[in-house]
Amino acid sequence: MIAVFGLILGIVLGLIFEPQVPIGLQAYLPIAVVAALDAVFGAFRAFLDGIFDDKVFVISFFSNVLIAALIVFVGDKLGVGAQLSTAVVVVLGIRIFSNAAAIRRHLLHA
Amino acid sequence: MSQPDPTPGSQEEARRKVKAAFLHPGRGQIWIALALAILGFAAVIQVRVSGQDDAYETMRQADLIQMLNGFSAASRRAEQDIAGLEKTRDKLRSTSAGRQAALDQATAEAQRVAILAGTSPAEGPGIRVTIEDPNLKISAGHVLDAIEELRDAGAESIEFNDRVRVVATSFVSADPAGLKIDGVRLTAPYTITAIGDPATLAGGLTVEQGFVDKVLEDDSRIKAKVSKEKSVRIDSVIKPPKPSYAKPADSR
Repeated sequence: MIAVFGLILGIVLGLIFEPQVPIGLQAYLPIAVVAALDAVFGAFRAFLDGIFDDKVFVISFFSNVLIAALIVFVGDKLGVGAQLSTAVVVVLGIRIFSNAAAIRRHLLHA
Repeated sequence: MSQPDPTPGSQEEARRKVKAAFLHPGRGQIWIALALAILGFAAVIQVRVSGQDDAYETMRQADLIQMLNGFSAASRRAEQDIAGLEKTRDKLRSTSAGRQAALDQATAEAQRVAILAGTSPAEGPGIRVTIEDPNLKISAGHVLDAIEELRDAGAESIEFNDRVRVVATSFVSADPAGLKIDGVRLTAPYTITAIGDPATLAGGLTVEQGFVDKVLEDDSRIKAKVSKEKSVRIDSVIKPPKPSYAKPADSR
């Protein structure tokens, strides 16, 4: 319940304040969002598997975001930023799909 | 997937677990809520950013630099084109301006020369002299005197009897029937029209021992009247003869 409220609160704040994204962060924000989504799906799956832990979730959430941003940052410095961010999105997308499949099996048994 | 399929019993358990977490949240959910709030916030911002139809905003630095290079090369080429075309335009403009100035100068020169040569009608201040000569005593010498005195007084254009223009090549002749200028017979009463300063021209003819005095001396029945006019018009023109012998020579 509190978690759902937190999600709704974040969305509402984003809609109300409409903040401008600093130029330097514009390349990292979409990657960070995808990484956070991956962390959330992984956490939900772990919860259903009965191995969920708050601390582990929070740490994995932020470390996922940081590592994804770091990979893109290094890619930018090496001149392959566009390709590396595509790679990060592909990998995270695959993880999100497999997590979603596990969640589906847990809840729907299908 | 490597995960083995959960048993049907675990499906019920999973649903129960979700329900319990939803209805009776533990204290640890606050952290989860914070993380999800950040996720929602960032997701909304990102959706907004990519929703703006600014194609360049989401492009990467390297691509933007490449595009910028392309644009600046194109704009350099365009600037070179502009510079070349402007140079051509300036050249054409100065050429045509120079041509126009030369044409204007030549036209003004031609008009001045035409008045002196008698090929163009002329008007301006001047005098009109009327001479009644019942005994036909006016001689070619008198006419030459009149022309000389008018020229001495600065006459710019002279005409006799409204039909004979006096120019550089004019000549006066006389035969028993009367006077001729350039072969055209003049009949009394004579009129002389001259353009110039009216006072000077009139003074030149009426000065003591001048033209008027002389003709009166020869025949007291001659009546000469000199009137100063603000504007007189000389309409007769001559057709300039083509010189057969004289040719333009370089000035030294």
